[in-house]
Amino acid sequence: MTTPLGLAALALVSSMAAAPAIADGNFADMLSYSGFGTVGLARSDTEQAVWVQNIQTFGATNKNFDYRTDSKLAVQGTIAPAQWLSGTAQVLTEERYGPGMSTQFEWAFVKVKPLPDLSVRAGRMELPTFLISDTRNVGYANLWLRAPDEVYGQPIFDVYNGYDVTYQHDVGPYPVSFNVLAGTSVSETALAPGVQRRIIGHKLLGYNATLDLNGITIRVSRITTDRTHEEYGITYPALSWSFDSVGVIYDRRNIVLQSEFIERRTSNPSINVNGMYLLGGYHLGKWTPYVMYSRGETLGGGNGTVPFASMHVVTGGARLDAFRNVDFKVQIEHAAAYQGGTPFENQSATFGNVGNVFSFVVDFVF
Amino acid sequence: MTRLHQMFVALALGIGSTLAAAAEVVVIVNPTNTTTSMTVDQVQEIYLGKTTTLPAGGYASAVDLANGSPTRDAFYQKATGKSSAQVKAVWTRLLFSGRNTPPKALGTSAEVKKFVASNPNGIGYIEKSAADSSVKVVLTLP
Repeated sequence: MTTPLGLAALALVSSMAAAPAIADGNFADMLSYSGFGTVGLARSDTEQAVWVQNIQTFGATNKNFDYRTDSKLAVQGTIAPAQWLSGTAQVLTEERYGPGMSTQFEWAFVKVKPLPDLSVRAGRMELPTFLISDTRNVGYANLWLRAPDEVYGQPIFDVYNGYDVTYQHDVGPYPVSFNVLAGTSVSETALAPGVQRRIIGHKLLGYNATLDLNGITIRVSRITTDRTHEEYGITYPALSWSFDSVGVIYDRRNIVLQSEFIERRTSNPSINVNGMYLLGGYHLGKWTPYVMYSRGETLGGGNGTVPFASMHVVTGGARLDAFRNVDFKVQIEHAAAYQGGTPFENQSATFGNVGNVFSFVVDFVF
Repeated sequence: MTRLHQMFVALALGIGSTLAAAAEVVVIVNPTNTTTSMTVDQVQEIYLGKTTTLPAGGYASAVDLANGSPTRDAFYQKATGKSSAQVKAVWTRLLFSGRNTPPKALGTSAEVKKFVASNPNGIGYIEKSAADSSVKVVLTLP
């Protein structure tokens, strides 16, 4: 588990040591850093439940402006002693599970390019489960204010330790990329105050392929793992999990359309999940208004094939590119929750299962 | 009178920047590069980070003009159909996914020309009027 990470650290240190011998330029030229962040506020129109995203602990009601849901800050550094060798690390502070915001190494990997079309990475990397897995935290890179939880809240893991190989090539005039990965992953969530569930993914394997048809991007991916978890000192038997995603982005002239369908399947059918969203936006100068429909369902019946419960969200918002490197976004979403659950937690007995959430963010890159 | 003067200056600046944005931009490579011409799609692939190689093979050492340069804005509008904010969002995605790093930005067309002239895998863009025999023009964006 720590082997790829250790290897990445070792490779990074040795590449830094070897750097002056490889590169003509000076050390400062090899080193680059950049960062991104978001400052946001969210508020709902109900006090009968708390609107919560993903594995976060805190969320919004009509009594508070919640700043933790969307606010985050990251710094990324890359050292590239040669065009075929680089090391990248990213540190991210955000609300995960637990009482406050926490900081952790999101990624730390070494990349080797033996051929211009081929790259091999080792270390801690994002798990490419979704169309936008690798930049879902980078508000500035995305049209939406935040990734829809009905799809992006269902992953097996966000990051993994291991290796991947990417081959990029043009088929005719169209760039194609194919990626395979192998590794392991560990994550933690809170079961109760002070009690954690430790989730372990053994034999994590995956592939994804992306085709770029001059403004239309099509991506398919599959991740599989043997997943087990530990809680209250008990280790549960591993279940086999798979996660499939098909996504499309249309980005031509002033129109942006993006859609994705996901399926999570496990050897325990009661936790199978489907999710989808459809996003559409239109560039009007510095403004880009957008609308989105997203939906998630758990498949409890019929041996894990028949919808058991569903939730859906209708979202409207706008992005304003007011300054260089800074955008502003507002978003209003109307959410119909799973009965007694996501995204409205701690529901009172009289909660009608429906709520509206207003959000405002400032995204920046540096 | 003062107001009229201000309006005149504003108008003159407006026309000036429109002319600069409308000026022809050329894509240049090193004279030793075997590629004789490139398509808009090939240039777009490099400047939107979809490929890291030149059509003739080898890593592309692409350079940009600095943020805010009218020639830069004109180049991206003509080559990719995207505004500077849209291009910035594309590169933000590539940079923070660890897939690619944006072209290095140089301050003037003279610096871009010097970089391309001295780097066998160099590629850049400048105003057509700034091109000379130290570099090879592979695409003209009218």
